[in-house]
Amino acid sequence: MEAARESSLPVAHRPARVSKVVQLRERETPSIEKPFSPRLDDRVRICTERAELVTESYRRTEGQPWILRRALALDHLLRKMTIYILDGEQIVGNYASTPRSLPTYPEFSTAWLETLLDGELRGALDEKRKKRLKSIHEYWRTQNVEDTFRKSLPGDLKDYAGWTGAVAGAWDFPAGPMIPDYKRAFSLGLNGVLGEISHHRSRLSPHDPDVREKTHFYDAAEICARATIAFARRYAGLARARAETSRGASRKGYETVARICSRIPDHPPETFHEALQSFFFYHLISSQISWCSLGLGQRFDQLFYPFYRKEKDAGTLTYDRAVSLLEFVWIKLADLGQLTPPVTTMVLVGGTKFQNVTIGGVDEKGNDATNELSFAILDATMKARTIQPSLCLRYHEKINPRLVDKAIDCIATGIGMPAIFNDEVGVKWHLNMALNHMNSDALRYLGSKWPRIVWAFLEASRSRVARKTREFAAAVYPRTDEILHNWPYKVMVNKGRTARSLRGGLKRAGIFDTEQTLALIRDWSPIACVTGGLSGMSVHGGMSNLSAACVLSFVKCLEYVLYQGVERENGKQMGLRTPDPRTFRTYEQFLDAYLQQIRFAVEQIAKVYAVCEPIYQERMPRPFDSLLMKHAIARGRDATHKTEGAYSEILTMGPVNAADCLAVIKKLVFEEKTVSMDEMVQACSSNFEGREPLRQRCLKVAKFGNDDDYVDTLLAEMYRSANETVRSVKDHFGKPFALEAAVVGGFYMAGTVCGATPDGRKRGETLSDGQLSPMHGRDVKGPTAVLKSCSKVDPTRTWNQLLNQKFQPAFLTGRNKKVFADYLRTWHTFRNWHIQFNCVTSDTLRDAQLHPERHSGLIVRVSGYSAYFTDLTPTVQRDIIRRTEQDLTGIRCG
Amino acid sequence: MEALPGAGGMEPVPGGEPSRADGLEAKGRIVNIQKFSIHDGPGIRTTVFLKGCPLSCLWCANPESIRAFPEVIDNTESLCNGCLRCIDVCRRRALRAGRQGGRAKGTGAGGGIVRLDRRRCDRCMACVDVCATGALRTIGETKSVREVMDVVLQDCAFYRTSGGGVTLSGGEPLVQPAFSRALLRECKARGIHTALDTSGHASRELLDRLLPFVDLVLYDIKHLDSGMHARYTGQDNAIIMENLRYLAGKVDLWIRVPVIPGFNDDPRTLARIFRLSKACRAEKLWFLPYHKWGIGKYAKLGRRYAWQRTGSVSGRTLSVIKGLAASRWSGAVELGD
Repeated sequence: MEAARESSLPVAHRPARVSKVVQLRERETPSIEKPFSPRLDDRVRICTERAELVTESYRRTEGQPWILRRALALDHLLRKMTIYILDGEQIVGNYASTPRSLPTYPEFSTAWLETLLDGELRGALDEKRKKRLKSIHEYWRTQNVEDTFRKSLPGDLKDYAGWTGAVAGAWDFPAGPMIPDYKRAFSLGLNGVLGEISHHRSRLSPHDPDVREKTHFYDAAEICARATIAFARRYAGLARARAETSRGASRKGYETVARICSRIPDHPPETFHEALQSFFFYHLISSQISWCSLGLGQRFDQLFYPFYRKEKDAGTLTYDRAVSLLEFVWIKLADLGQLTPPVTTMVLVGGTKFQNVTIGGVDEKGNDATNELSFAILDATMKARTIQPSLCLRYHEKINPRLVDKAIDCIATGIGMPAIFNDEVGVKWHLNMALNHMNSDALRYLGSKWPRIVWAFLEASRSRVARKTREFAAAVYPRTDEILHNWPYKVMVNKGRTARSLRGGLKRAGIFDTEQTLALIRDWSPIACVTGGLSGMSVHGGMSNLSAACVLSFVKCLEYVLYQGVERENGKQMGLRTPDPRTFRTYEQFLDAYLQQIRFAVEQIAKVYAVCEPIYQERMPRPFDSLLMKHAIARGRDATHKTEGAYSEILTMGPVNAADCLAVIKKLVFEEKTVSMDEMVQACSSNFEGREPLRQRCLKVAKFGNDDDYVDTLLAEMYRSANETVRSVKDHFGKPFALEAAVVGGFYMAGTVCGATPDGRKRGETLSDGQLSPMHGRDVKGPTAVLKSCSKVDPTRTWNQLLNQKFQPAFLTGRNKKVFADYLRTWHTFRNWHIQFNCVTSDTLRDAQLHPERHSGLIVRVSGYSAYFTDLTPTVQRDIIRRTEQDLTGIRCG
Repeated sequence: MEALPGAGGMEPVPGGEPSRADGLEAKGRIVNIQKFSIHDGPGIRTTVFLKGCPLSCLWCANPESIRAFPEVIDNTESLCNGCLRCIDVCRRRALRAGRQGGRAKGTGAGGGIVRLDRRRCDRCMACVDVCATGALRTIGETKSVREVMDVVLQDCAFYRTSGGGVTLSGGEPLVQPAFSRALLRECKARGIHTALDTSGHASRELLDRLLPFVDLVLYDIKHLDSGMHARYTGQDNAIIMENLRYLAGKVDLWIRVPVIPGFNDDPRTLARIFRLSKACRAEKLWFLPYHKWGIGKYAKLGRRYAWQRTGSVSGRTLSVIKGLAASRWSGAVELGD
């Protein structure tokens, strides 16, 4: 993500972002009623109100079950916290007492905040408040969640519960992304949800072994629902009061807000405005007030279209009005933010909230789902020019070309959005995942045990269908593992007779209905960076509090192979003690040692997980979010409850660098034998000091991103085997870990703690900025070659991958727009998963002037031709920088 | 280059075409192969720049492609890390440490560390071989059709979706006719769209040999007045005009005109260009405004930039072109990029 790329700040500076929003808004004079423009400075302020209220409530509820205590704390918050409506706001909701401050979450952890309060955040609050906050921390110091977790860790694991260079878990920050099912929430209203709660509560059997737990859950959910309604009423009251003291257009605005807030969220929303406001209340409470979670995954154009259509047809809403309402929501979303602990900040970088708004894609029948709202969303994004929400486009074969055109316009404005996702890959990915991991309601037949059960059934059965299936599966995938991984997908989508008859058989047997499953899966949307998820079922099957931020550095593991698992910085044995690399005779031995290092690192993560997950689950349940999930209420289980189908994932960093390293070692050490392993190890440990010629030779070996099979296949193979290795480790639920290639922003940090590597990278240099992005400056064959290289890695096998591409805005406008659209179409045919375009900014170009060696792949438009920026003379470079600045600032919006 | 008759007393280019072998083994001298080229014909293309050009336009923005033999391009100003190994290997002592010379300069911070005396240089390229940073590079590698095709074929998927293909450019592709022909034929055999970007200064027999394998010709017109043409490009335009008339109607034709202030930007010349384009049924007329961004390359090649009037194309000229396009032209016009 672009935000991730640029920021290296230790603390999430939300106000810095907000002030940018405001500046933009002021400069551009929006075409609509003026939204808020509070005077902001760039400094983080801390609001202690949340901490105070929560602590007050927790003090009162000591001894009660944790889930009830959390619900009661939320109740207390929503009824007591300061609320405000800024001038002109049409979508309301706030989470801290003033627009410029951030709340804290002492019930979760306090240690890192204490440190920051005396350090970087010294000026964030006055002495009086600081004292008060510290006294609150006093109460929590020994009983906050993180502290409880750290105390329970065995000594030998303590090293691995922080950032080791190879692994990092955001143990002190509960990310927990989820995709609420707003469709359901909208159709029921909270009154409907309350009805469901009492319905399911009345059906609780007294013989149910979990009856106590379930009753607590229902109590907690009910408290949350009622508190939410009361929260909305408070805004209604405030708006009414404001309306009385104002006149004209603003009076009308307040009256509208008052009317809306006195109807929703208890009643199902009826207008577009009501739906947006309901959504924002839910999102605000879920991600800011009750919890500081990350992520939002919603197909906005699908979710809100019925409301838009109805009003449009009735003549009560225009396109422009819809755009301006969306803008109000965008500004609200951009305003959300949180303080994060240093480790998390390094992993997530710069407090981005990963609020993904998805457009495009297919409907449940597989047809293009583009509608007017898809365009309105792009318009709103171009006008608001906020960095949140991040826009995603589901690109598929039948997509409306006009939508693609508009998306290209949007990218050309330089905001780097929308990111583009390959719909077909998304569907296939989810189908595989569903078949392998998921176990929730409509998909429950397809739970993790499903393939095995069906397989066993097919093995045993003598029916014709079973025999044919066996043959089919054996013919397509000779290895059992592969069969379990992939054949169900083939069975579900293949058009052949065997697959068809098998589908029929499975449907008759009541095992699953392909159409129904596909319809569900076609509703996927990206969440948290580049992971796909299903609405109402959350991203991780169940909902892990932590999994989104567990990171594994491939490059560090490779470095461990060179030094037998010893950390160069402190001489500690952090990795596995693999054999001395100097004794390796073949490349395979090296690769094997490398995979062992990966396995070891994942095992450490697994052990820490096993300690922490039960604690988090007990102490930090999410009753409010459970209201919005598909099945939580029917099950009587909190949304965080790990179902059998849940799995834990591990994010990777630096796979491209690792593949480049492997290529160098394979080529120079084992094939050409021109460099000995000893030389290589010494060169790396001395940071290539005095060995520049060797480094240059390393740099000359084929690098990923140039359509060179030698290294591209190494990466594909590495992904495959690393994935298998990771999957061979089981988490504490007995599920295999899954490798996920979403980088978040950790590449920067992972680079700083990694020594020199055989690919010619020097100590501390950053890693490539995506799982498929070539290492910067090493892709010299242009954007087509990058796509070709990426197409060689199977995205459905190694989960998803992130690819960043840089273009100058001139490539996306005028005559070149069509070419760019064609480029995108080719990308789609390559079945890559994700791509996002950063329009090259003048800052990038200036950096390229100073460090040409880092940017040798950077192509810019010169008159009539394109050239590598670094090949141009300084005068020309300056000229282009000036022009790029113009291109970006000169963009008209709308 | 005996095969270039009637080229106004043109000297055979020293070291012109490296090999006359036919088919996949034909060898050519390449300046550069550029993928994702989107300005040299329709769609996403791969442009193969060949080395050697019979013209020597004073304003040329690609001076490295003019001479037919391999040259050293000297990027030491920005890329040299001061290792000075090039000086050690130079047998002719053509390389010397510059004023700021020495290893103390560190990496990447170059700036006149090494100086190349081209009068002494015999282009043995030993210095290029030892240069680790690419500060000294050879322009004009010899490649076979097979090698070039390997690169061209990598982007087939992009040609298919975008209606792109391969463009032969230069320099002047007709300076290496056997290689160009073999390459174009190979592309056609693979069903790839081909474009030939040419100055038209070549014998008709050569053109005839290539035409069956060319889908689109990008034809450069500099000036219609023969004297002006001879004065500023080194050759008169008799052959060029004759070839253009010959090509009319035989093949898809785009005419490209570099608009050079003080040379061909007067309304009369522009009007004549429009008339000519109409007469030869060109599909598209493409004006490329003069820019001075090639000037830096002259120094890197050890040459002097002889064109004096380095101002950019005036707004008046642009409006003249737009006016002419509206009144006298029915086809497509591109102005700049």
